[in-house]
Amino acid sequence: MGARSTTDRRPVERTPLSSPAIEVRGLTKRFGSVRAVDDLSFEVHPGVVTGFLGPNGAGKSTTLRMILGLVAPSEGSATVLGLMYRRLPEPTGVVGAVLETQSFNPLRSGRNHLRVLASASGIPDRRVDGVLELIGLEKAARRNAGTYSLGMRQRLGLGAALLGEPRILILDEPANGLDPQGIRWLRDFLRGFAAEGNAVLVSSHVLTEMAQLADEAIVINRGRLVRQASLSELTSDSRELVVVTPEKERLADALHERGLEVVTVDGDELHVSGADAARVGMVAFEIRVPVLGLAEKESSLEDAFLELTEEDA
Amino acid sequence: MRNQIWSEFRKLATTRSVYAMLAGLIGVVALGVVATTTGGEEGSLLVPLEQQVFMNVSLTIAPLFGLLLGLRAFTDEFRFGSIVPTLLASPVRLRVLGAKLVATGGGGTLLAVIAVVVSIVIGVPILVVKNIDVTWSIGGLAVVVGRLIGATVLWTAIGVGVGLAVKHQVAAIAGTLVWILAAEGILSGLIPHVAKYFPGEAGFAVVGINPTEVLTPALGALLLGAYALVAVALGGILMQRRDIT
Repeated sequence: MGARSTTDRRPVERTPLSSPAIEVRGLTKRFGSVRAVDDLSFEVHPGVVTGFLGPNGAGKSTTLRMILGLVAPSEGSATVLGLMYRRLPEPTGVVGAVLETQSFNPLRSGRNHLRVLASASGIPDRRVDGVLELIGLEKAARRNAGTYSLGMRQRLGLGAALLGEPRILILDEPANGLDPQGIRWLRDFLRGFAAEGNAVLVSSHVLTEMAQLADEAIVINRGRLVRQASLSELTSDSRELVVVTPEKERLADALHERGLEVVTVDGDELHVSGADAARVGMVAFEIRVPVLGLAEKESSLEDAFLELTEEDA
Repeated sequence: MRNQIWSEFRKLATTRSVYAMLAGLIGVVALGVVATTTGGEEGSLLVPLEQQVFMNVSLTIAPLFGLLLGLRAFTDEFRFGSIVPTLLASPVRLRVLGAKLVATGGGGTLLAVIAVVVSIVIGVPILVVKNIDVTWSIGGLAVVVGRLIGATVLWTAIGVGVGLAVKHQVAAIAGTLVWILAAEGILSGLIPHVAKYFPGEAGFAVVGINPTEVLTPALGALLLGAYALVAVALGGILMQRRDIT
């Protein structure tokens, strides 16, 4: 995509970010009789990329907008470094956010769009040129932003978010419209950004991207928190062990007695959740049941996500 | 606040359609002045420049363009979604409103001055060709230009407030123009005692066109100022409460 790699970024000596970077407590938003966000609480910490996951209509965008002071909560609070967004003395120096693919006048050039936003925060024009180079838009900078491709629009949005050299990035579906190189660039950029001690909250419904991108995950459904955990915890939750045995009923009963859950029985196979191979092997040995095969079935983030949101539905 | 004002001025200066509006203003004023000075209406030998009939063109047109400029200030932002980065950079919303009032007020002032300059540059030579000796005084001209700037700036403020309250650009512009250009005229036939206090009448009174016995330019300015205050207050209150979804 022509953007500079994160290694080209100027190293900055910055004070460590206090934790949590973002704190959401009992956040609720009602639109009429609809509870778009319902008593939601979570924290976003610096140093990691936190994925914000949920099906369409789960309340992700509304939550992000409440954090950013664009939507007023009906109840609860959302703070950034302990302050409401609108109370931050220099908000763009603390938080950079991209919420929509198009948030610019299409008849204004990309550079002018960024310059106007920079002026509002007292940021000099030379920073705009630096950001244009960073996001790989320097050649298209003087073109009307309305002529940009979807990927270029995404990068322009990211450029606007980066103007103030923020410590926290909040991105709503940032990979939409990016080509594979663009996605890789974004991934490297966000990982590098987080590794510098900054915080990233990124929403996405494209779970394969999130699996590569995020360290932590917040899963919401119908406005409620379903789970906050590291990505590895999330996928191990739904990991299954496949046991092949001719005496599946006996083994299933024995596992059940020991508190292990047999999810499905499929031909000669038992699918057991929440157990490791050694434990199941020992149970089979104790009750003298032959085991012909024992394998862990790798679970994807998608499996975990579907499991969590289906349970909640 | 200074940053926000500078940002809003830059926004105006880098929006191409603002220049299209300016070209439109120059074109309409030029055509109007030519039509007035070469048509049935003769220039008067006895009145100074600022009272020549052709000057009424800029006095009528500039406030209307000022109103359009004001209406676009927020409706453009809502239309293009740029309200989101604007409010992320300046989350204290009333500051954005204040900055837009100052920037569009400045833009309105420029429109008023340009309209007068175009009128004079085109109108005076035509009168000279018609052997009408145009007299003028700086004081008299300053009063006319001052009133026009005042009226145009108040109309931009009304536009900013209405645009903020209505949000939808087409609805805001169409609704306001229908009110000014049609509804006020119709209502003035039905309820003349009330209609003479409507914004359009107040605006005309400020620039000294057909001032009624009730509305002197000063009273017209007070009344138009009150309308601007109400529009801005209404827009401001709604802006404070509105969710940007």
